[in-house]
Amino acid sequence: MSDVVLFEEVSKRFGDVRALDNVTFRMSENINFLLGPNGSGKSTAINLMAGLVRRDSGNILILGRDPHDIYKIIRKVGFLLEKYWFYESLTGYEHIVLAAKLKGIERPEAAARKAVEMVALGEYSEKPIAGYSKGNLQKLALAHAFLGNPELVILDEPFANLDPPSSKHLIRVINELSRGGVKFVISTHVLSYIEELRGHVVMLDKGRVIYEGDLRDILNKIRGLIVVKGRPLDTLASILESAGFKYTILDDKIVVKTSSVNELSKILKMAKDLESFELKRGIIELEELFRLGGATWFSK
Amino acid sequence: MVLEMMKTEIKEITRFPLMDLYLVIFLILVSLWMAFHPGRATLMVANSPSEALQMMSRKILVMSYASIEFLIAVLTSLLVALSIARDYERGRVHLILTLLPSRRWYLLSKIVSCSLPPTISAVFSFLLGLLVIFVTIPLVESIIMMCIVLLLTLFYSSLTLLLSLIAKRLIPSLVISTIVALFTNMISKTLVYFELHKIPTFSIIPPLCYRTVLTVSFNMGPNSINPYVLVPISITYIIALLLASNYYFNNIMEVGK
Repeated sequence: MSDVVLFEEVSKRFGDVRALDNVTFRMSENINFLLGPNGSGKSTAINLMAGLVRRDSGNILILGRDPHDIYKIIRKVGFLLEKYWFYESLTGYEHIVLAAKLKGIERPEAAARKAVEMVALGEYSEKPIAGYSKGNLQKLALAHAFLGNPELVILDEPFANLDPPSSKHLIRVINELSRGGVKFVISTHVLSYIEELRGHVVMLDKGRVIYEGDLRDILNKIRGLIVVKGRPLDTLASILESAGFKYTILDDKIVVKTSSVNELSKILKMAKDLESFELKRGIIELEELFRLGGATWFSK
Repeated sequence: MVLEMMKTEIKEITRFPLMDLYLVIFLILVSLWMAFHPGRATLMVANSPSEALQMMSRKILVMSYASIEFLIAVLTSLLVALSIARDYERGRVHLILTLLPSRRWYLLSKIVSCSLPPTISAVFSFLLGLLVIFVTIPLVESIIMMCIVLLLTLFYSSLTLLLSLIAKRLIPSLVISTIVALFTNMISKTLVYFELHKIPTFSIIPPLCYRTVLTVSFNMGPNSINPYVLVPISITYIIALLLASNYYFNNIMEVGK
């Protein structure tokens, strides 16, 4: 399978900040994820892919081309960047038509219409952008990325500002397009949104790749975590300690890594000194995970 | 493709009452000039009423028009600086660069679209001014002047384009552009007042010569600088600044940070 994105020993500094440090990874699946907490270097990697930033060292290939030659294949790639701002005097539809013309797409009106339908912008597409909500602006930005049947779509935080139904709709669109052969690179720090997708993951932390593998594996690891809230917290901690559970205290809660939920629940119910407790099982977001020292759980 | 981009840029720029403000300020300037320069008018000797009108138009209105050079320079500087820095800060540069096949087209469309509204409004105001005082139009001089105004505007645009690319951020861009516009105009005025324009070597600095040209071309005096020399020099300067902007944009400026 040919590489969609290839990073070879790529480094990038902004002044004293090392945004990417000797990063090497390849993405060749239909859906690829770039995960990591805020400040991990995801957006820098995306900007490097878009050719908006110059790397200090290393090699990058997007569909087999250097990002600074990406203009030669611009019609094949669609981008959603973290930062965007539109011509607010235009309507959403007019803006996408303009973008289609700038991209050199044949029959720009038809392409724009299709992109608008794809993101379900609805009646708002005929209204001036100046009056758009953040959610509609995000949809419009997504429509720009899907414009003109691209081979590769690179999305930086695609779920930002979207409400749950819109996020679900986007998931459906991504799944449909990927089944049709469109490749995706999706950067996000919100795991709960991508639960329903499958694909290859590159996880970044502090500008380094800390994990490469399947999204299912990561989700399974995280599902093994249980969040326990209880009062008093120090009593809860000592109960877990004496029962031999591995745990981490995070603000007002404790995260326990265990597969035996029933046993944990039973122990807590029997504890006399505990005023109250609550167990929560599910996806823990990356920000929390990394605050818990999650980086060590994803060692390569 | 670039035309589409320019059209959209101009539409975006003219969302604000730029033309209206420009016209009002121009008319105020003309009125002030006419009010404070009666002495100059009394020195004119005319042989016929039509000649008197023509001299009035040349000596008063055209000179008043020449004083708008400052306004055009400042306005264009601010417009270009605002436009580029705002695009950069809010992320439009990023969006456009993921669509456009070349960054050069972005810069070109930006500079032309920012220079056109001030130039067009200057021409419009000038014609309106002529109509107001009902004088014969000094046609050839007017056309030369329009060309010079356009060159001047493009020169300032390209200069401030480079400066705002270097400054990146909105406030520094505005401050630098204003200082540059003020400074170059101040030198220009000083040179004219001290008649340094007589020294031909100064013709290598186009913006400093515009006022000289505007002054002498209508006086038709012996110190007139040949526009056939000035125009190519100006164009060379504009191209040089645009190339420098393009180099800076492509190689030095990191758009993503």
